[in-house]
Amino acid sequence: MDEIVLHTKDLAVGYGGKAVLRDVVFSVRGGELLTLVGPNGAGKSTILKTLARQLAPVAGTVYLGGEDLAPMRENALARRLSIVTTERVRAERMTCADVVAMGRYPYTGRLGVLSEADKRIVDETMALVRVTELAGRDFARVSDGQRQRVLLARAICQEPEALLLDEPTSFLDVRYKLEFLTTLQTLARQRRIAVVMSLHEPECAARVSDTVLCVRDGAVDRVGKPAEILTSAYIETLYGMEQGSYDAFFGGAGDRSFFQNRGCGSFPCHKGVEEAEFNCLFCYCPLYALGDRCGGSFHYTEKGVKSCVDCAFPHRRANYERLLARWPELAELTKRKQDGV
Amino acid sequence: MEQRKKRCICAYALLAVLVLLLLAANLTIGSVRVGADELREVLRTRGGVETAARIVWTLRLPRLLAAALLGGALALSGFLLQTFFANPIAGPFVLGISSGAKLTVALTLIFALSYGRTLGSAAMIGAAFFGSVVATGFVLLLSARVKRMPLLVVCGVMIGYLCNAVTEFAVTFADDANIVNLHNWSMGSFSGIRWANLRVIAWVTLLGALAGFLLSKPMSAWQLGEGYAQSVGVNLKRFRLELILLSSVLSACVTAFAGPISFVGVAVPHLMKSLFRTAKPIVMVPACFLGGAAFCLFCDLLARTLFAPTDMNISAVTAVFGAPVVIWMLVDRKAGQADG
Repeated sequence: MDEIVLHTKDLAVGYGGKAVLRDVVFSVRGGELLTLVGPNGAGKSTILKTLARQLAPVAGTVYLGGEDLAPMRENALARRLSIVTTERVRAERMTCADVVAMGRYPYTGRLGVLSEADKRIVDETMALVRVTELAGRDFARVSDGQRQRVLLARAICQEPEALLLDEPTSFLDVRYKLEFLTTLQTLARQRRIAVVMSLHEPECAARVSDTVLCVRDGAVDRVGKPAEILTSAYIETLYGMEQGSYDAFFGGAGDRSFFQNRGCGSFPCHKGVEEAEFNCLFCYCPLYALGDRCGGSFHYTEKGVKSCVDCAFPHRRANYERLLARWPELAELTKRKQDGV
Repeated sequence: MEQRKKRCICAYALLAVLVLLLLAANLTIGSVRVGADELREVLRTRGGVETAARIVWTLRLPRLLAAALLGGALALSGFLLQTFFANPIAGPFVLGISSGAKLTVALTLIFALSYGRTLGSAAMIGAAFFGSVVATGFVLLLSARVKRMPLLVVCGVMIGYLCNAVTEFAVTFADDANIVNLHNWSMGSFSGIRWANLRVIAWVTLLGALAGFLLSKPMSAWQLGEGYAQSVGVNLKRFRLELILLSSVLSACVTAFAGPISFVGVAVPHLMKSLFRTAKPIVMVPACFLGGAAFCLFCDLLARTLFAPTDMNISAVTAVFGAPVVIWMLVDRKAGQADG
């Protein structure tokens, strides 16, 4: 088993000396993924910011490879820990390769000129994350999914021992979510990187994580293996909680939940599905590519094109779990498509 | 990658040729025309006795060198501020920093003159630096509260107006004899510069450019955003301080000697970004300096010769060429966002 890369002791996190969360205690080994789950505003980002040393801990200590994080020099820390945040990346006139190359920053000299070795690492990383074909494209003009992968490549390029990701899959549709998390998981295993991230969906967290940490009501509610913790009963309480906090967030605007996006213009796109069970994460079906094996209802048009206009399968929240169960199959398909087979 | 490198080299060569041509043009063209042979003689003897030679040596040469150095400093200062605020229309003039410097310089001048003293170069820069730091500090305070960039620019413009109003007010109460001088200076001009000033200008701007070049690595990380800059090991506190002080020194130096000059700080960096097709600081710092030099040499040539013997104020000329660039940039950006 790998060494423990990141662990905390009596950690309390918060802003301006006021703790949002207390007793945040966990450890992550190289090659492991730990996912923070919980409602919006529970303090997931605050934990991640503290781990990245963007915020000082209110109490307690964060250890990276057994060393206290606080007194580390900037450059030394940057060589061991990297991040993917929700911050909008500005990147004026930068190609995707330029953005990835920024990950080499802690290794370059006074003027930041890349050595041949640096360039090789950039190329290798881009190949690994499958963004090589984006190298010359303007970063501001690639899709959200591509952008996240480029940012992941940038973080990997930094050759960290620990990688922190704040909601890396929000704003991505399900297909990209799957793609992104699969890549992340493979990379973490291959390079023995300890990953700590926050995710919106417990279902996704259950798929990829070795450990989940649930935050709720100013405390860490549960820590452990996803199979033991994320039981359907517990997910239900998490959902209930999430709904409540969303109401608070939107000033009690009714039963708006994470799964419902009424702003999209086509909500509800399927009559006959109750609002409460509606899942509006995507307007197309991620299973479409699976052809006959998608599991929904469909028919073939006269021209032989698969049509599923009347299928409500992916739009039912209850089906989300079943949808994600197709993950390996979908990931395999995406991979084959990317390899050009 | 190779293609990019080639483009950079070509663009630099183009700028260098442009600067050299404009230097030569500025030296020879004017109310007194000077031929190549005479020019060589003037440069060899550092002046000489003839009127024409004296004009070239004591007036024209320091003036054109100042235009080049101060233009470079101004463009660089603009680029630094744009990078800092992640806003393409930020610049020392737009954010009211030049006007802040102008105010303190005017007050210092009036104060000194009323005691019958003149100010040395160092005192002028000192006063201007104080003004620009105070104005920048004010803009930073606002930027902590006003998150939206357009609003910040509007605030900057307001600060500028406020400072100008106070300056006008002070000028009104100054002695008659000084008003003419002060007024000329406050409109912006490269005309009054002597060799003694030039030495200070050269030191400040060239060292400033070097410092800017050395800051290009953290700047490139900052371009991705604050969080990312911090995560790759940039000491944010120190970097912010260095960048702000540097851009203040540069714009203070310009304002102290040539008064507030508009649009160079915004237009030149944008032109350079388009020319080089990159915003990488390591490329842009020297490019902006050269570009600013060329731009100001060109504008000063027009200011000097169009209505000779009357000098036009330099801001009028830079605005004529700079403002359309800024408008084009804004329209272009909008279009880019629409299809991006």
